[in-house]
Amino acid sequence: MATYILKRLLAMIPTLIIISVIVFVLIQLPPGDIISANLAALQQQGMEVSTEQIEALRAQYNLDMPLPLQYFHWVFNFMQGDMGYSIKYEQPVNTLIWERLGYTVIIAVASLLFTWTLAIPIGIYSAVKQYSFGDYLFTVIGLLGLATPSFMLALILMYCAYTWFGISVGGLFSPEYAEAPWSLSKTADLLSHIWIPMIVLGTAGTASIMRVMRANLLDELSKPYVVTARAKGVRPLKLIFKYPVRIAINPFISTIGWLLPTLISGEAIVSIVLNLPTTGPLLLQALLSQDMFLAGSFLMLLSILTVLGMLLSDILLAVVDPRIRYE
Amino acid sequence: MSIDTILSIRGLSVMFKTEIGEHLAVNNVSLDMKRSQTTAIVGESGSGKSVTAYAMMRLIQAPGKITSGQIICTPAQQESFDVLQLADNSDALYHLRGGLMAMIFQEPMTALSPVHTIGNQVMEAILTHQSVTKAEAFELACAMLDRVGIADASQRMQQYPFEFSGGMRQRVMIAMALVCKPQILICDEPTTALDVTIQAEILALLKELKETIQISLLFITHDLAVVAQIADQVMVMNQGRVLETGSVRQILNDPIHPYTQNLIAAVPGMKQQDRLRPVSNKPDPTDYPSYSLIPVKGDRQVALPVSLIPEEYHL
Ligand SMILES: Nc1ncnc2c1ncn2[C@@H]1O[C@H](COP(=O)(O)OP(=O)(O)O)[C@@H](O)[C@H]1O
Ligand SMILES: [Mg+2]
Repeated sequence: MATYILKRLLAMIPTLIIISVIVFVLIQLPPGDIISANLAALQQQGMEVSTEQIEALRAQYNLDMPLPLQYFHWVFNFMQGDMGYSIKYEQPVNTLIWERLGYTVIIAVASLLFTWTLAIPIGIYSAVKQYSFGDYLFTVIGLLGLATPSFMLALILMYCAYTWFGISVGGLFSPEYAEAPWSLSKTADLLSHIWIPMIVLGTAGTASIMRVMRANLLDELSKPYVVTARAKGVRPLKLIFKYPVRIAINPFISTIGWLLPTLISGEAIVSIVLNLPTTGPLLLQALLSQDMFLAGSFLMLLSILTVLGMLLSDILLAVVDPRIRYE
Repeated sequence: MSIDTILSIRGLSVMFKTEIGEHLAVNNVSLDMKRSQTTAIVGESGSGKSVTAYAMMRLIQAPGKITSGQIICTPAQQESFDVLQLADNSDALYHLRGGLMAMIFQEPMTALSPVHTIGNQVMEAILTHQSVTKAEAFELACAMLDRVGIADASQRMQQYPFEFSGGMRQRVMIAMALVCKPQILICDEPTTALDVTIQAEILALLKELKETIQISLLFITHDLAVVAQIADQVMVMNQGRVLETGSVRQILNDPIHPYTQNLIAAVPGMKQQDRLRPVSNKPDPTDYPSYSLIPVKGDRQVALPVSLIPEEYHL
């Protein structure tokens, strides 16, 4: 297993090199750069900008170097943990990203837990009580949830929270805590805000996971090993959780890794609607404003998480399924 | 019902509700299993053999339903009881499954959970029915695996089903079934999915076990050659009905029912026929209409109208 993981990690290196070239080319592709964009804005406001000033700016961001050199510069700094400087926000990319990444991870994990604790038991119930009233009810609710756009649900929840409870629920913190240092009451404030994004983002995935769990479990329930266990005299509750649920749940566990990249990119629209300090809106901004270091670092992080996520998935798959472990 | 009958099925019917309507998979079946003997159910596929066996352990699930009948079980030194009268969640029912009766299946490749070790699955049978510690259960499981011919049992306990061949898995199934010392073992086509040499090994093992541990066997098969080797009593089924019952010698050498005669004639080398004959090409309910079983000479029964039963069999 250890050698397998090591091999896979080594195999990631060429993949990431190729991805980094592609990312670099992509962020260079659109005509112009952020300096000329800023310049245009300044000139519209009637400001005079001298050629020397422009050249100085270009040099400051290494934009005057030949492209290959720019690339190596970028990659080299990236590997040392320096993701460059955001021209739009006038801050180092590191400062911009890490805090937001923390919140993104918190929200993503919370909504994933919400989804799973809701969807998996319902899926199990629906399969075991197939065609019962409850099964139909959950199917209808699930499909409604699937058909409701997340941003819509976000707006509805915000409206309800505001009109009924009089609380304004945008963002992750009340204004008085936003800039405050971490404390117990700041954590409590976070918890009182996080439930809306948790429900909004969690509901989106609930319906499909519920349906998949139901279908997987129905498949497993009719397998001969279930009859074997029944014929052994194993009681129903124990039987269902030990055998078919254990196997029906494998695909979920082994695809956790695939969720890693969505930690960053996922749900930008909901985050904008809910005014969440997460990475999604930042990525969108970076791409819109041609903020090349910010966008490039983001895309690179996404790629690394994707590749790592696939490895994680393969490892988890081997952990939950002995047939793969022993190959 | 004589005293040495361990299990007596009376008028059992099982119905399946499907989209195309209600279907009687088992239709008014009666069967006596003699203690410590092997009773075979023979019939082509779809004739209701498995459903009968499942009903005996109350394993029929929706869309199936047992609609009538009695299954009187008389375990050694115990009162008789009707399996169909046991309450759904009663301890007695869960004791019956695995404790009193056990079952092995046609597909050893899929009858074991792919993600649990052999040891886990065999020990589960023990821990479900006996109050022993895990260590004791481990020892019991090892001994049983050893008994059914699995070498290095304690090591193989840690392995998964996919590391076993089909024949070995069927041995595991047999060990798992016998480990709680049931009085009835139902074998639902246990050799059908195995290749011929392995088939012979498993049959030999079952015969040897039956003789040494005095278990009553219900052996389901469509293979008359297997019946000839293992059975004492035979019941011929078709379309959910019993067509004929009798001793293995009576059924194989002197079948009364035309369906049984066809069945035997279709087996190459079984009778002096030189051409293969199809059994009933397409099962047609009108071929063997619902005559009821009539007792005839030699403690056997046949489902034919009296006029069609040759004189010499009449009581
Ligand atoms: N789960 C089920 N749903 C619907 N019909 C079934 C089901 N199981 C069995 N049957 C019906 O019962 C009949 C007998 O099946 P079975 O006892 O499995 O035959 P076999 O003699 O081959 O073991 C089948 O022809 C089928 O019509
Ligand atoms: Mg069958």
